[in-house]
Amino acid sequence: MELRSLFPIFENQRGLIYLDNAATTQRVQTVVEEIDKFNSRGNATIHRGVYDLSSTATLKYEEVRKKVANFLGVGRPETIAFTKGTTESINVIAQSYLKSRLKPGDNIVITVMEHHANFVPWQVLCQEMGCKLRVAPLNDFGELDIDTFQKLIDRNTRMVAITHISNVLGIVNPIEELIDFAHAKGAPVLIDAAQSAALHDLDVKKYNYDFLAFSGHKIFGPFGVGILYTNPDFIGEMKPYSLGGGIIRHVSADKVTFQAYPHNLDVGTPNISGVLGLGAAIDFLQGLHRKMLRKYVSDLSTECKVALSAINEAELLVESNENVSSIVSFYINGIHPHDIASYLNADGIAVRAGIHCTQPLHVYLNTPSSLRVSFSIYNTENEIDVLINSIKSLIKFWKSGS
Amino acid sequence: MDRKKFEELYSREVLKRNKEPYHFASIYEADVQLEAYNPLCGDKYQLYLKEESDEGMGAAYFDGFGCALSKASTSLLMEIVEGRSREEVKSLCVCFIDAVDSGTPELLKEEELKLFADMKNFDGRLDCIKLSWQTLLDYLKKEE
Repeated sequence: MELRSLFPIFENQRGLIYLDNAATTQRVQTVVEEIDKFNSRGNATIHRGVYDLSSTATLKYEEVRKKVANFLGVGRPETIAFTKGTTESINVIAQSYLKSRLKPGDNIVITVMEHHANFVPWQVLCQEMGCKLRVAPLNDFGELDIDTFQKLIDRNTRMVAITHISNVLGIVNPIEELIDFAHAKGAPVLIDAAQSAALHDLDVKKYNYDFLAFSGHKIFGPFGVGILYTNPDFIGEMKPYSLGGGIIRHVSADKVTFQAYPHNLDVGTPNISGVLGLGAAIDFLQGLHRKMLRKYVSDLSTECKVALSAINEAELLVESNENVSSIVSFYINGIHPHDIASYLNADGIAVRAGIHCTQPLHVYLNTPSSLRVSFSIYNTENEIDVLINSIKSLIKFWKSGS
Repeated sequence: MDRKKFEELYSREVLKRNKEPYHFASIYEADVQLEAYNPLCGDKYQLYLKEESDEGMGAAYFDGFGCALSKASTSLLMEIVEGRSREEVKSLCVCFIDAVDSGTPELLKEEELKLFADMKNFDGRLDCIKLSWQTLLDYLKKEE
């Protein structure tokens, strides 16, 4: 499709079939150019220099904050903080917002499908503070068990942290409904939007989330930069996450005071080129017909699931074709996912094998590891055909050789 | 590496050992039980070792879950350690791991060891090949 030509990797890696988009998407040309432009023509640090180069860099950096606010339908850019990525955004909320508010007997509600990034920060926090981590299970269809999830939330729930789209199951959680329910019990909600930010409209007015985290590198932008949105009612309660220069108001031997959120998170010298690259990625996303592209990738996923279902040895982690996004996980009976991924690699196909940072989910599903195929806007039906043919050849080879 | 090379490397020894691994069973009267575990991929084996004397290694068994490369290379390790002294096993583990890391299988004496060390073509899979060897080596070093 036309969009593919906007991604230089495919020009430089002829024949590459890239199906690991849930790990990282490829960089769009405008992102590469924006970063290159800053590095070669505009490089200076922000918020400190009075010279033109620095003040221009500051201006452009703060413009991206406004751009992200606009992207999320947020009126106040000061609710948007730059982080290293989704993982850091979640850790910031756990440590800088929630920790000081917890007391023994409180609880935090998550789901068993969470990525370690939205599991372990809450687990360790609960262990430290004498709180209970409540983990919602799945139903028989491999979706979140909403009834149980709702029962886990009570008046002592201090945070509900859920993924919008599971990075393994690929299903889209009904976050509007889940957020409303948590709010009715007085619990704030953090949405892990790492897998959804590229394709879903995440307007805060529609969903009413309190915290939202996503990464630049999964929305066609650079590594090492992410976004944290914080409800304006809570921004006054956010403490610095890491300490040092760039976040100070006053410091003496006796006392230190900090700048307000979000600037109290800009410690040290931030990833300025990364933030500008993220801005270019947001521009790119806003120029796309995202509903159409969402349908495009979910159609690819469904086609892939149907084709895999026709292979006797293949078992899908989620069989239903409802609520499909861009991710399909499965295993092949008798062949370990790593051996499959190596064989596919030999055919020029990049997929992910392993546990995808979701050990609790794999234990819950009683699956030691799985193979994950994840699509994006530049993938094609023909690539699915190549994938399926390659898997069939491998099964044939495996049987003949053993 | 293309498909042909993959099939050639796997056909030579990996598939055979993956299907019929040497001593693939648990023995509960083992003198030493070690866990070879790779948290990145979830591969996990239990190595069961009998020690005939202070110096020598006796029967070696393993069980667990893992890819064909890790299973085949663990199978080979089990076969090789039996009847050797601890020092010999340690030295073999060091040589094998070095050969895999540096991509120099020609430095190894045994043909089958060479074959596995030659799996350097599998970028990203070296941990699979080394998993049980490294686990055993760590144990032997700790015991010194």
